[in-house]
Amino acid sequence: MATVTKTIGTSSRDYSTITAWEADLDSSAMMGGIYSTGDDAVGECYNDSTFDEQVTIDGGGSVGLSSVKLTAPASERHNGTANSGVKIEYTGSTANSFIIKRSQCTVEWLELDMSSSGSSCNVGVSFGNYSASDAYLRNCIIHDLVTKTNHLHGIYVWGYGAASGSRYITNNIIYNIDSSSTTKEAKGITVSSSNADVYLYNNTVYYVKTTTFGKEAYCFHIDDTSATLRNNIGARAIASSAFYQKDFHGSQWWNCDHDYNMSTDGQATAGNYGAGTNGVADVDYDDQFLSTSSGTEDLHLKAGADAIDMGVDLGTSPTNVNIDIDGRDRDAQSDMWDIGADQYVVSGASGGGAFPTVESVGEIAITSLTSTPSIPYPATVNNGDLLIVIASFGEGNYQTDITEPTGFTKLYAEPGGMTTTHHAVFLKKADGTESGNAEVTLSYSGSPSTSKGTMQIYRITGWSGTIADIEYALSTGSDDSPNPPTLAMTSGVAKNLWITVVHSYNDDESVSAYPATYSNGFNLAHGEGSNASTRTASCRREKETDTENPPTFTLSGSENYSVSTIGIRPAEDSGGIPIALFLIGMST
Amino acid sequence: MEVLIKTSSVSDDQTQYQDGDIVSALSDQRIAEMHAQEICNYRKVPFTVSGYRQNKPLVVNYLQETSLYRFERYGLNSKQVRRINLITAEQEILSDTPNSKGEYIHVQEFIKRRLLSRYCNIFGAIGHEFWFGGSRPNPDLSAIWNSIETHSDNLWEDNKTWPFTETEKRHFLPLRCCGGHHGEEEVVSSEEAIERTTSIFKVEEDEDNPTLLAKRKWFIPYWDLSSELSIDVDMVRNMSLIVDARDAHHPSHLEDTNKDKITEGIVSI
Repeated sequence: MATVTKTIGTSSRDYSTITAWEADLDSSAMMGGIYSTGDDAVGECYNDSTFDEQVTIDGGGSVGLSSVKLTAPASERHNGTANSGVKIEYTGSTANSFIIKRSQCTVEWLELDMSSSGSSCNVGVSFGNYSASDAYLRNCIIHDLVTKTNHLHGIYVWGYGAASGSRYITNNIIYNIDSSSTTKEAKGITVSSSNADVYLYNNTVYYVKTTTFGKEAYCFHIDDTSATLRNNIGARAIASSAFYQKDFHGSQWWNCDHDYNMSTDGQATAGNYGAGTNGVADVDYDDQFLSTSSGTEDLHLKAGADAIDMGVDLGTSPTNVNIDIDGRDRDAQSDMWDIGADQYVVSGASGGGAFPTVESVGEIAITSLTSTPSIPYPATVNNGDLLIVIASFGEGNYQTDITEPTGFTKLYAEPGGMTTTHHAVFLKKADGTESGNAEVTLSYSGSPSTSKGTMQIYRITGWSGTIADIEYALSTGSDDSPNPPTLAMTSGVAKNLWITVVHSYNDDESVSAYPATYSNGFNLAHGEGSNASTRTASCRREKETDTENPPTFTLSGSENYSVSTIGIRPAEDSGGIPIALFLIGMST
Repeated sequence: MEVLIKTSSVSDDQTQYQDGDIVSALSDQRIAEMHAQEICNYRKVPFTVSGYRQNKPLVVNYLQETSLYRFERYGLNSKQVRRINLITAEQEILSDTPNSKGEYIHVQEFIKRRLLSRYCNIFGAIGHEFWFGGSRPNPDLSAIWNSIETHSDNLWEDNKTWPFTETEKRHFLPLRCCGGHHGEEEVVSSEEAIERTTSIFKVEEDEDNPTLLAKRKWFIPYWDLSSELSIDVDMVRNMSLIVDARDAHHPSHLEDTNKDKITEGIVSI
């Protein structure tokens, strides 16, 4: 009685197809084969290439296997979206693309792309007659089952007439079950009648569609009272009339045990009552997911989704119900359970941790501008540090562009009052070899020496390490109170560092007061009194939030300016908080 | 086409695999696609310092040839994505506001989440990301392999057999088949190859619940073809020995060797 694991894939594995592995489950060790009575057979699929096969798992009976599992090792699993891990893209026409047809059987971590299947292939995964007990389908993605010759079912649980049984469908994502232009119905998950216990936990079903009048489009179709549903999302069922489009329905939906499920757009059977006492109903589908765009669907929850924290804690039973579509262990992380297959996590956040740290800020005033102004790098720059260069130049030289220092990425550039650019912010994830100066290149008309410049450079540690995490908001004006704009970080609440920058230009006004809640202001002016002057001021604060609206700066007089709010996320284990910088630039 | 044949039975129940059943069948097109997928797997491409996949022509060209859509982002703070249909060249703009089909994308959070994955499949640079999605039907194998041969040392000619494993060669029998009768060598289509691995069902009242009559419709009585296939049947059935009948000088012909259990009267509907 051993666990016998075999690898499956096209790059030097034990089997090159899932079918061959399954066909060998009755290979008896007594006959020179593989398995003995009581063994647990495990097939591990590898993402060497796409599998193209109809799979039926019903083997191992003659040997007397204790259990059969088809899975993907951690390195080969999808990330909750298509084309990211082990994929089966069946191109044939057998009705059921994948059949679980034995008890003590687990199928997990697979993507079933149905987009290339033949016209008779109308079911993604089917629980067959003999999968009575301890049959699991979990953490799979089933999608793009479109217009076949029969009714569509992402998952179909056959009734087999037995009085007892246990089938578990947990943490799966199913989308685009579309029976347009046919007389057939479309269902995300169907539990047919005459079933024993079927448990549907934490599944997400999105976009189930029919077009012919009278043809049902149900995300969850429940025809048996023995079904139990918790924490499922049914979203955007579409039919010719509201009567036939239901996120949750079926002849026994009212009588089965269901609660903590979520439906969208008024499509639970009858609002909250139909969804269950603790259900969430009538939410807008476009507020829930990252992407529903065809070809790049991503049904992870977006920040602010109604499903967040609204599920019931199911603990660790049935096995692995606590593991979400990304492999996050809700139980081990002590999460408040979300509804659906995804457990929302503020990226970079896991609670506790620290804010990004400003290690140094350097400033330089440039009195005689050239086409390549520069600022010295900090004395210490380590691999992975974040470097921010803020460059501001007076308007007198009429710059048309500011090109970033080598290795930097432009966060933004702000045109001045004469539609030329004279203020920009650049970012770099340092490699530790930086020395000398960070040099920008100006394109200009006229003589640059008639204008002035200021530059600042921040060195920051404890940030997320990903430039794309840094966000900003920018506005312009002409008065004596630059008001940094509100910045809402798309990544959600975290221990962010917020920096605000004001760049004023034209005359010689100074910053007389920083935003009230901000500190560590830097304000090195360089001006000449009129038209060629510039000033850059920046300051910062730490705040654990996803949205920041800094108070205003105060200038000594009315001036043209641009003002920004920059958010910097903390390192992965730091509670996901950004730092904000505010910059004001002024020039003359 | 290459096939894998079952070489033993545990019972005479046709709903289980029988000796001679065609377990797997791989067309030449499928074999070429598989090797291309392996060679051009985006996971083999290193990351840039910003966490994106490097823009390697070998992989990007492959995705361009096999994907249905290319997605391109506009600018660092843009909420818009351009979706290009790679078959029709039709372009659509996607944003966080649903379009007429209800499609939307919160692209900043979308990209951020993807970048957290070690299997991120996004190329480009910050604000100028691009990625691919959807499967294109019948991709152009010639174009794919032309690109592979241009951008790597891999040759199509060297990638024309299925990598059956040692276990498969011990427990099953790999064969090469072609279309037509003796004296002909017609290419077998992918559709026909897939059809060789179908089961036999009886569709009754519940059309969602057909009854399985036979695990496989097609079989090859290799025991009667030992001369043609240049095999020793006892060796084929000995799981301690590796046998690969693809080494035979001539592929076997579908019409001569593949038997339909219904036609042969083994299974009746």
